[in-house]
Amino acid sequence: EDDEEEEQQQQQQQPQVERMGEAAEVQARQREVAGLLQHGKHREAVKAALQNPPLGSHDQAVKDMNTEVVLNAICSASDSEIDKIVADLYHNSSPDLCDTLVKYIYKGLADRKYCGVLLKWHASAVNMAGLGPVVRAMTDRKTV
Amino acid sequence: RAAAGGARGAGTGPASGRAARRRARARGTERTRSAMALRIVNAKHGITCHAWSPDRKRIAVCENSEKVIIYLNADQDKVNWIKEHELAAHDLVVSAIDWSPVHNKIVTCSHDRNAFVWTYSQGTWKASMAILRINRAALDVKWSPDGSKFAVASGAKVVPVCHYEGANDWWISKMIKKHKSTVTSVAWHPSSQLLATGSTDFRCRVFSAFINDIDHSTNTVFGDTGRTRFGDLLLEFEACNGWVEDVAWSPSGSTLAYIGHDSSVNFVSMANGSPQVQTLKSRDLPNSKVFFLSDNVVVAAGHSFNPEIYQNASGSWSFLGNLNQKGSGAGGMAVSRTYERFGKKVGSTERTWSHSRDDWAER
Repeated sequence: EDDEEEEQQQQQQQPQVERMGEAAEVQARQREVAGLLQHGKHREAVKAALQNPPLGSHDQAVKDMNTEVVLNAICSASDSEIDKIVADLYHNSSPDLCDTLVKYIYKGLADRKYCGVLLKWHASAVNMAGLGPVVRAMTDRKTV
Repeated sequence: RAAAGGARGAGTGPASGRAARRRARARGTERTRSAMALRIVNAKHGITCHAWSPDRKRIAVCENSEKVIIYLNADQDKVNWIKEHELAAHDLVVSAIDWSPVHNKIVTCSHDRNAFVWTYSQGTWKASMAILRINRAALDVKWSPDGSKFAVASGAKVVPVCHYEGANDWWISKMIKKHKSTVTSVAWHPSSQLLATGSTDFRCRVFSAFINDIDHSTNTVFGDTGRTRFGDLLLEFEACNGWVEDVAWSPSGSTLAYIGHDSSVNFVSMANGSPQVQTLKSRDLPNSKVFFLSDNVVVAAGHSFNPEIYQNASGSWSFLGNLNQKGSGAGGMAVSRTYERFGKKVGSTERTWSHSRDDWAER
């Protein structure tokens, strides 16, 4: 209870500048991902979309916008590319990206969007990275 | 899985691995480098905790009940195990047992909010109640390495540290507070002055457990107990995103390890007075117990049913492998290659296992 009160106070005091900074970052990411998708570069698009998620942000609009960007990138990839993209994320990128990917998969499933596709991504991610990212998606208090 | 079946194990168990392999070799059925799991105690409802006797000939086990059973000949084949004593004093399930090599006393704690200290005299174990003063379940208990105190982790958000008061012939507690939620586990620094605790408020903490009348203060890299009072918070770590399930100190006291419910293993060491935390995220389900086999090798086991080994080579920790290796890829060649690779790495650590075992046997 103490923590919640502290968070609320922090939320009120969080300067407008910070929130605008987050929103600007997400919009820039949105443009970058859209550009990559136009050129059919699905792997780079997913990677770019998963960078620096607004974890634990107090601005719900920013989080929603970022979720939209990530899910858009994820769902544009064709089924045959899923395994390759996940393998690339797991082997060639920082391990946090796999954790972030699984967090957004669960976010999308919770919002009941694109469930069929997300379940395919889920299977691929667990196959590649194990159950650790799933556990971290469940326990991390700073949500996407 | 005598040492790791069911849920919690509070004792030290590499001895079971070595003895088991010896047996398997005798039978001609050894699987190289894979730890043999023998069902020794067929407990239908699981095993909550266990503790080895100092000479490793006996083992005290709680089979998910209010009683603790001591088996004799625990270092031999399972057919020779004899049920020697039954310690019955608790009203609810016993959550932890610890057996001190210093004075051969056993301490047990239970969900019934009590802890008993058991002394062996004239052929039986006699219980004496420790006054804990907690109003929630006790979850973990550990003797300090010098045997003078024991600490209890409890759901009451406090850690009673009990020592013996000869004047009244009882064990009396001093409380360590400052936790915001259930304390899941406690671990003593080898100096017996510092206590590390893990809690469900996502933090691992190090406290001074220096009691004026019975301790001499020591200056360790983690804190100087001459300058702090009992219960002072020395260090607090938040690297973990889940409940802290277990904490453990390395034998030399130079490193602290704690595992979290977010499938992470965190290592803390001190460099120039400030703590360095290294977090390793596991690909499997979270662990429940962590244990140092030597200063450089750690084993963690838990919900994925397969103990993980971590090794410190040249200053940083890394995941070495699982204890039960399955062949990767098709074909026997791939399997044996995996075992060989793992065996070469483990080869150096096997020596440390036996070395540590001898250490305890001597003490």
